[in-house]
Amino acid sequence: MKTQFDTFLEGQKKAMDFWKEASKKAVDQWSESIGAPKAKEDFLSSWFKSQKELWEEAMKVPNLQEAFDQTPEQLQQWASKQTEMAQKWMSFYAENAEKLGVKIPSVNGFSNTAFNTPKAGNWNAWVDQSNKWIQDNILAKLPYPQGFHYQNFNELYEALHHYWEPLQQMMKHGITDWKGIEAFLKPEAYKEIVGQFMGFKPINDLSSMLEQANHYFEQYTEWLQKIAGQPEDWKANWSKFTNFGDGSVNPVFQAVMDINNTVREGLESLYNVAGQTREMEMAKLVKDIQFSYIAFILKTVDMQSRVFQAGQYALPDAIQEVYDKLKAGEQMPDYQQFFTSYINVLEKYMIEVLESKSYSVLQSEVTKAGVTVKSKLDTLVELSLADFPFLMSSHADEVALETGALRQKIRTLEGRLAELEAKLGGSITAAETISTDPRETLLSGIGIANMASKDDLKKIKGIGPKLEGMLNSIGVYTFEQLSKMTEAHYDLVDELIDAFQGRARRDKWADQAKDLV
Amino acid sequence: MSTTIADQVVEQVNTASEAIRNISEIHEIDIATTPREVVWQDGKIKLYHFKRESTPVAKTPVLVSYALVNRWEMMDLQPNRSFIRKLLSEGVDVYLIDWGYATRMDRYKTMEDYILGHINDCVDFVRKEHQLDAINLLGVCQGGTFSLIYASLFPQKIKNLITLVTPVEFDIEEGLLFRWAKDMDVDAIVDGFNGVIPGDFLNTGFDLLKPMGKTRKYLNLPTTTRDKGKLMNFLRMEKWVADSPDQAGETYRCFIKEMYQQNKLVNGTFKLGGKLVDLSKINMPVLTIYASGDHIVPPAATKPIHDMVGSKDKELLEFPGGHIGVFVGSRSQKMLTPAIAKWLLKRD
Repeated sequence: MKTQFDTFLEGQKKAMDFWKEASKKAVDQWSESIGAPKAKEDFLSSWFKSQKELWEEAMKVPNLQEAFDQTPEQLQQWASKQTEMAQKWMSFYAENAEKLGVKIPSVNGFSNTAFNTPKAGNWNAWVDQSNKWIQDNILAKLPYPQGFHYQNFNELYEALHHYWEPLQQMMKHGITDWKGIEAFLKPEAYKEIVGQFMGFKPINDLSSMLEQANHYFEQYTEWLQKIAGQPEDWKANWSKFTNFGDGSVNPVFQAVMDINNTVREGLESLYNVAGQTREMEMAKLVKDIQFSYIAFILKTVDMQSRVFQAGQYALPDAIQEVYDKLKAGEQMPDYQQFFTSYINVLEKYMIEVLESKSYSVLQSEVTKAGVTVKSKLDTLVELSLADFPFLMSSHADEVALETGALRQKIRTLEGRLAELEAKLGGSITAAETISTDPRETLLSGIGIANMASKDDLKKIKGIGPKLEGMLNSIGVYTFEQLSKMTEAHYDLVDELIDAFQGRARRDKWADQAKDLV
Repeated sequence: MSTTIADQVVEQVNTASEAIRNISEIHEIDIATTPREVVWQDGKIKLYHFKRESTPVAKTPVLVSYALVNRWEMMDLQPNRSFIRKLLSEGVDVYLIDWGYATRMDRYKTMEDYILGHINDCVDFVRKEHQLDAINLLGVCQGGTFSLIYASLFPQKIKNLITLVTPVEFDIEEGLLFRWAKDMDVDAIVDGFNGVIPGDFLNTGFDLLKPMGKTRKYLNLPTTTRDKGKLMNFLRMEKWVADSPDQAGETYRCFIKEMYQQNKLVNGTFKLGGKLVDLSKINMPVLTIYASGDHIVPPAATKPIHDMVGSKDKELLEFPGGHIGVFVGSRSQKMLTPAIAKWLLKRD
């Protein structure tokens, strides 16, 4: 198995091969024209020799752990040898190149920009690889998979890096209008870059995507309806259906396939069990999911395009910023510095969008549509499994509801207990915990309920939406509770709710409610 | 900047070497290392008492009520810069409520359950344990909002109240969360998620507050990795961020609707357990702490606490930093925790 250590060694070796070859070429060329330079003996051979020794030493290590422990030192030693060699090589180059008629600005001209030329490809590869290794290993230590975000970042960083040379030209010349920018960087490419920042999968061809989604759902529904009457054919039909769709890379279509897979997982084992009406209900749900899903896509596209638009201004601004600095005599930033200032500008513009009312509304709609799809899928899966002896989510909800009611009841009882204790001479918690609370007295008389078991109290004459809300807020939700009310409870209601005084008594809520229970 | 290849190579190699060393040495990401014991428990809810080597200087213990959003470990994230540890070393006796992780079973759990149930139970436990009529309460963020509500309903049980980066005024123009919450269809979201709001859903929102945050994080990764200390703190923070509990739907619905959308605490219309919550009934000493650079709970949301409480003895304290810096920054250690301890000791 290839270890990280091997990867490093490979990188080193590639780097060394590059230098070896480059040096050899240069020396050979110059040897032909100006005769072998003395320097060749002076540093190249000693460099090769010491490299060789270092390598041999490194390879002697008996096991991986030890190799791993030694690697940092070895790499540092190795790096210092490279530095030494590179410096000697550069001065050698400077000394001799003029003899060849090559004009050299300075040794330092062999700088960052040159570093990124294709000739330095092996170096770049090594640098990238080691960076990636560091980042991957950090990611492995993280408590949850960040692979998606990180991959996104990496692609983005690389994508923009690809344009680094033209970007530098633009910065040198202060080209900040989009016409100029487009000569170097196509709008689609830029859109992709901005989209990636936000973790978006840019949707480019909306209409065909919608068509696909639509087509898919149509077939799905048709299929469900067709087999509704023949449960014995489920299995055959299902396996046929799962082969529908070619797993295309189109992100939206992929998402639809994911939905399909979720349902399939739930359905796989019950082909012969499901009843007839359920399939129809499921078909209807699928239809609903389709509409919610399409709404989700449309709104997402709208949301994305707003962010893209914001991103448009960021690049020209970032270029202008550097141009101004260059004019003021500052140096060209390196890629990472430029990238940093670019994302700062981009963030500023994005926040402007995120702060706008229209974005806020749109975001809410996207969320709602997304959550609706999820919720309906849950129902679909639960429906498909209804014949199995599992405890379903909706059962858990019922338990949760009961628990909620119990919590409230216990608090009421604790209050009454404390009250009694206080009357009997009191313990520490008694006096402060509870005074005679009208609400607790009311609920201990008529029973506890909560909003999940809520009845439409507006069916009672004299209770409108406003009063209903007030009743809910004091814990009255059901006809059953109202039906248990006595005169004393009517007084408590008046005490708790300022408005509508005397209405409960006047309209005889308990009598009305008894008919509705 | 024109560095030579040689410089770049050395830089790269050094970074890589250090990274190898650092990464290979990490076996565990340690957070919440201050020793503690569970002294009371009710289902998922636990009450911790932090252990200390010496007798506390303060006679009255402090009970910490953290937010339901995210985990309390933020207050004990780095062993050398722990908010809790520092508070202990300043002579304070500390209790803390761990809300646990809400699940399907908690979907109908209400603010009433949290405040009149759990907080009240914990307050009573500590009072009984120390044979005191009233104890100190320190509320953090949303936990601070809960503490304010509690203290206004049971002023006789709270000796001193501290609110840390706590929102009370929700009708403000600053802060993306506050803007977005106004347009949020919270019913659709709570019902759509079947009553349990995923922690990841909240984290997505928090991430959007600084859209380039993740990008910057990855960009700095090689540098971060080079320094063992920085690397560990980076990983601790990541661990904390990822550990975002789901939210009980009914509580979430109520908090978004009645706080963010209807601003009921400020309007004086918020009711809990049938009782109207009136913050002017808070009469004990109150210390309101806000962070000047807080992008999650902007100062405008926090500062009004100072004006709304009915206390005669009250203080407003500005922390120069952000929402998270309150707990992990060096200024928190040097300035904030000592100030809190001093304020409490003076009123012990």
